[in-house]
Amino acid sequence: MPVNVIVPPLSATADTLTLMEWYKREGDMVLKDEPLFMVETDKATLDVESPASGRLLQVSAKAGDSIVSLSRIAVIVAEGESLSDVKASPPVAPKPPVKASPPIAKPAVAPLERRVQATQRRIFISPRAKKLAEERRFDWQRVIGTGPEGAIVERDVHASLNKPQAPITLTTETNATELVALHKRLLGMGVPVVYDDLILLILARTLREVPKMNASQEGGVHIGITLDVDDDLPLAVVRNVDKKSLREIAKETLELREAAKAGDLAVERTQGATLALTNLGMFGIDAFTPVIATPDCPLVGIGRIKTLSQPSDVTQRFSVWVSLTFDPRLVRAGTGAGFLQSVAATIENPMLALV
Amino acid sequence: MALMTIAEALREGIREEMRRDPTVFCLGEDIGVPGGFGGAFTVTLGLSDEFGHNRILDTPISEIGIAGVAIGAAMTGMRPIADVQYGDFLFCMMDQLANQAAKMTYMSGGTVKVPLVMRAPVGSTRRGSQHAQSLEAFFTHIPGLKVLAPSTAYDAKGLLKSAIRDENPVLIFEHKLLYGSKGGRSEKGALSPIGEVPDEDYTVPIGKGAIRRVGKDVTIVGKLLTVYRALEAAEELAKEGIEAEVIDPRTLIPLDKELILESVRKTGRLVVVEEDNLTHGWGAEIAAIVAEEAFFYLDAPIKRVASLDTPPPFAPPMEAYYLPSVERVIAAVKSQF
Repeated sequence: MPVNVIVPPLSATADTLTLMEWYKREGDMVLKDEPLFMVETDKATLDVESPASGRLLQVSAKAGDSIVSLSRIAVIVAEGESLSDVKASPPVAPKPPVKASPPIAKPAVAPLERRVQATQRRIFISPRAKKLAEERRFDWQRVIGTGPEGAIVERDVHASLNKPQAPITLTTETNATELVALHKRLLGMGVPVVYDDLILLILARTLREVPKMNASQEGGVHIGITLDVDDDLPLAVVRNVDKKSLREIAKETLELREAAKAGDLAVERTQGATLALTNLGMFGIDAFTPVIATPDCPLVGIGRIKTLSQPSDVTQRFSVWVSLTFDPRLVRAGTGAGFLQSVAATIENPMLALV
Repeated sequence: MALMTIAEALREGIREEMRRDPTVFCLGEDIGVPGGFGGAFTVTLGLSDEFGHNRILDTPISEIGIAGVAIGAAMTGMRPIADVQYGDFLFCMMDQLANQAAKMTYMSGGTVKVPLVMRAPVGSTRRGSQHAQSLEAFFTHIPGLKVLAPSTAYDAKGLLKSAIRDENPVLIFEHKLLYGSKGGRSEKGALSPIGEVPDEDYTVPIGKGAIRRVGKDVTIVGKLLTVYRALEAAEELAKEGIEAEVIDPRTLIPLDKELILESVRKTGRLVVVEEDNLTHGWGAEIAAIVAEEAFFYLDAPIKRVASLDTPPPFAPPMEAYYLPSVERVIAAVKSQF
């Protein structure tokens, strides 16, 4: 059976690579593991080896083309079987009578050709594997299928899920001067907000732009915050943050904090977070790696708001470290980086939360 | 508890039911003639010695006549067991079975019952095209008939008894290579499974399947001889680490659907093996049920292994090529991994 030449998922941050050069031409004989073509990722240029020995046929991408990870760009046909043989073998459809009124019947398409056309832009996954992946909210597009016709089957999803994979933490420092000023102004206006409330608002707004970061199939934005009521830092969840005003958020976090202090935080108020926020600023921590408690839920960490100014400075300037920890099997690194950038930009300019 | 072949178990089942109920009688070609074989496959051998020729009724070679007598007798209070010498001859009886027996209870608003049992040997055994077909799917398609396919001695006797006591027309398909017929009627290449059969009265309920082998990786559904082909394939596959679950529905109509679905939910793969030819067959029906009701549990395309879409060939090498071999079952299973 012909073997598909598949673009390997080489880049952690992009789905498309650039095809730099074919080392073989259509119709050439190639050997398994022999360099077949060169691709350029966002980081490097790499050779891709032939998945099988045979003749290179049906080349569908040329040098300079953008090619999508896991798509098929050619076929290797083993010696003794060729695409043209396969095409020639099925019986020819009987010709319609000359006077037949319906349009001329389509020529018979060889089964192989049909299949190749079908697989060209699609990744097949078995219903069972898809169900499993969706239950675990697992991004199966990047899994390499080992099942019938290259389909992703249950064992492939299990293998990907079980692959030991450390969570990724991305960290950035951002200018917090405007955030501090906004906080001060709101307090001056009698709005009792804490920094967590402002960050919650910023996160909810940013999730609108990057919904893939929100660990929810239903779409609700429920952000968990660690409460600084005791050393355990219990997590409480503010539901539907995206639909709430800053005042409503502030009121709710205050309630949660008081409930936690009184020790009567209801269990359901601690569950169902689709993103979590941990602020260790009050402990004087600059930056840290948050630990993912619920496996599917990305976690944003906020450090101490530091002053950058000298006592002699006329205006005061502040900065803060922001980090994002997530499972790269569930969220692509590039998506996470984009989200963190947006969060940092909105902290730097909180007006963006109004937009 | 005694060890019996399927032919012996059927014979004992008929004997016990005829002793229990005077309305039960057998009819068919050469089923009781002195010096005969006891039907083509020895099932009724010796029964005329005990019950006489009025209850072990030899008929002329007229399948239309046998069907007519049996259906008429059933409608008027008897419980006939009609012996079809070769299942292929059921085609002669088609109008009486499909248009009369199957519909009578419905058309009479339930006032007329047809407690008929018809036993038909099937399977390709080097007898050419007209003595070798597997006709189960023709009859599973007719509403109003119950269709049984026992593959062990225990089931053969237990299902036969359930059939005789049932108020509806019941067809029992029996495989020639499973009977264990002896002497002049022994079959080349027969499996002739011998099984334990209780001495006391028992029945096997109509509509309950059996798991013949437990496995976790693939569900293979077979019937009659193909249950054994599936079991043989399963042993080979086990050597390569694939554990197949083999299901024998035993009753084709009504079907123990849940047993099959439950197994597929566990294994994620289904292969149906049948000796009928492929197109529009019984395997297609099983595949459709699973596709409709367990789609999201499937991890690979469903595969059917069946005879080719030709009449059964006479020449042994061609017949072997035509039939669903163990190798084809193994290949179908492997294609799912």
